[in-house]
Amino acid sequence: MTTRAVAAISVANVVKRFRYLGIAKQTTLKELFVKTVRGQTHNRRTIEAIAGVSFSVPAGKALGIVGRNGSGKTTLLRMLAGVYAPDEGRIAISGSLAPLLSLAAGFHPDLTGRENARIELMVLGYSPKQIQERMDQIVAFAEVGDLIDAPVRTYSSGMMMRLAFAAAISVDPDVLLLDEVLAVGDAPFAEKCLRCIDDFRARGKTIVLVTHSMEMVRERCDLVMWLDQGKIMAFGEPDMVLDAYRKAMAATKELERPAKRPALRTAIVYGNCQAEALSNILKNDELVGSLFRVVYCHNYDAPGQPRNLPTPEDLSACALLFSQHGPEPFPFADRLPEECLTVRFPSIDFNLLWPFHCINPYNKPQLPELPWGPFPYGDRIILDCIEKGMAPDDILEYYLNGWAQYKVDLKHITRLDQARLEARDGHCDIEMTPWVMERFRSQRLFWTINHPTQMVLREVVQRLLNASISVEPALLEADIEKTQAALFPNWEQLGMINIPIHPNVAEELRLTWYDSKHPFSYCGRTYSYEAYFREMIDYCVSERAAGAEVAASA
Amino acid sequence: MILQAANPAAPFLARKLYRYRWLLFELVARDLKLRYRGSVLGFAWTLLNPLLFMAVYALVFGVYLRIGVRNFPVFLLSGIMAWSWFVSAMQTGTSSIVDGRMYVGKTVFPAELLVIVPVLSNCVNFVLSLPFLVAIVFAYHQHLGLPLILLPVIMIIQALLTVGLLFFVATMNVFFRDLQQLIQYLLMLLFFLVPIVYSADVIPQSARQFVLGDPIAVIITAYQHIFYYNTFPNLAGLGLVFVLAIVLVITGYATFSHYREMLGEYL
Repeated sequence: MTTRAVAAISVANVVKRFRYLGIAKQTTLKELFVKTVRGQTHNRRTIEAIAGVSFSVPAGKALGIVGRNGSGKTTLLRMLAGVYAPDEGRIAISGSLAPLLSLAAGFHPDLTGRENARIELMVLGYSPKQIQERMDQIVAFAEVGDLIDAPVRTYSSGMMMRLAFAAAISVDPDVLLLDEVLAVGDAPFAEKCLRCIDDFRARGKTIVLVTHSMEMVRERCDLVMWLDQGKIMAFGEPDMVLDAYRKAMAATKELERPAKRPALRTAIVYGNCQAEALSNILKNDELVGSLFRVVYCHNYDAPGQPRNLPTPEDLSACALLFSQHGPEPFPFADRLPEECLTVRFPSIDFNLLWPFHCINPYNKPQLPELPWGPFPYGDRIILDCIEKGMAPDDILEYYLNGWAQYKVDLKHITRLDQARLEARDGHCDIEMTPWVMERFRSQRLFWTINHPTQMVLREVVQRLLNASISVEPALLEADIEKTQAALFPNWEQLGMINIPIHPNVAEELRLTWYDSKHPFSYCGRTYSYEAYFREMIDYCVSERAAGAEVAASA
Repeated sequence: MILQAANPAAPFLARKLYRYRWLLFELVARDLKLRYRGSVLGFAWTLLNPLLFMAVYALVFGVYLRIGVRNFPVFLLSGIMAWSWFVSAMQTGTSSIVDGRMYVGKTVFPAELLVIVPVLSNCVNFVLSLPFLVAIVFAYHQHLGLPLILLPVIMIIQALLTVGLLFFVATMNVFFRDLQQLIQYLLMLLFFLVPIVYSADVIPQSARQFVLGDPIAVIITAYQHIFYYNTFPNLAGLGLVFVLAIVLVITGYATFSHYREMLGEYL
């Protein structure tokens, strides 16, 4: 190991072949029997994922690997990590190694973050004592707080990445392998990781990273390798290699574009108006839109408009079904192709911020010109006051300052809300409760009881895509934040609905994002908190009077 | 560190086990912990299981069917404890690679450990319930003697045999998930073909050699020799089973290594 102190990694004439057995995934014995009879099991093709690659990386240098999907980048990185053994040739690595290969792989969903980190480090060959010494550092770096002792299945993709990165970095390896891991996670953490990587390089450690981010390669790599079909197309200074790579990509893109169009598969999004909003984001995303035709399907009858249903062609070409848990399951499930992947996700409601709400108090059809517009939400406290015959001005005064008399047990409602969300999660393949409960205090996640903000929608979309990578691995690279920013430049709310939150509720729940002086912009008008409720009270009073007249005449 | 073509030879496996000893220890401990997590009695189940087994089987085979073996509970228990080690290890081991899919193929996690863990954790269970067996032996005024020194040897042979079988079965189960179901039935059939609830004397002379030639039967009767008959088991038979176990481990591990990199694609 010491004789090769100059080269941290040296790879000589490495070839990796993959065999394709003629056996499809999850074969049953019956299918195998049928295939054996037809003589289909002897179809043994091999492909060269890596076709004779030689290079070396001097200690202290950062190597970036770029290339199209399927060019062999990940295979090469996995070989450096020792996951795959080369069929020919030789790979030598001097010093200790920490690979950070893929996100969810390597984490057991039922084990806690701490247990998973322990196992991760034991895989790298560390003893329990050494791990104990590093555990505090890992917990601190991962920024997951108390959730370190919660099962990893409750983590968001960002948290998972943070934990994986923290574990890998804690062993202070001589060589660090990174596979496209910084793509997920929030901006502050990504920055922290980048600082960590810079610090790593400054201390003379070696890094190999696979990425699609040209910027990352240009700024942080001393060397770049461009792989295509398992061969090195170019290797050397970043500027030179990236230039050649970009030119080649631009040329092939033009050639490929017309051929790709007809084979578009369908992704069906089934559910309520939240699902419709999700489908709009997916439809407008450049990457998702280039891979799938996104179709939205109602699971309810919206007043005054027909149900949006998929066509038979949509169903037969469906590769992905994002099905919201709701009153009825997807009605055309039996017409989907067998290989179609179904990902179930929850509808996300949140009563907690509006503890007095009651829906459609007078059961009247909607009056769109009113502030609460197409969704007539009422407020129990205000309605009670009207029943008692209080004047509108007194009602407003009582509503804003009478908190001591009518206040409710918000802790209890919090528990109810959490239990309700968890019950929904239980029916789904993705879980949102921990994410929502963790963030609703620091960020505005909801405009109304059942209208989440773009922040929530982004997380749901991201998790849906993460859950679909078995159908299309490229989905992991979709930049949802960018798509949303283009669609909603002002982070507008969904459906033009926005209900103000009682200042006392905000105070008791300690909502850090809340600003009672900030006006509500809503249906093209701007309201102060008082003005909004004044209008709402007037509406309720007039509605009640109209209702009484109707009752009297009957 | 130099990486070359993978070495599927069994000595390589031994080296790997040593290298990942902490991980192996952790996984076995976790397996045991998870098994009793959320149960009130916890580890007491390790002792309760054989007790309940014994009570039911002693009632059915000792009282109702009158197998006619003296001190039937002792006889039954000396065989059935080792059998339940074997059966539990086979059942969880068969699906071990499928169940550990998050570790296989995409990370550096040594997947062979997944196969070995159920054998070891059930072995720990077996060892922990041994005092109970000893207590029953004495309760029936039977004796334990010198043959007891062979106990670790028999256990090692059984562990090797199970690991060897599992390397085949767990690997193939990734490609044909039916195996998981099939193995349940095979194990149930095997249970009645091995003299556990009856003694070998009741087998007709012509078939006896055939039944006792089964390697599992050799191991089970060896336990009965130690704990029930207080005599040395058939050493030649055990020797043969040992050789078979070694062959199974070597070929099983070679098979597993052959398919190792393909496993991830099928999970």
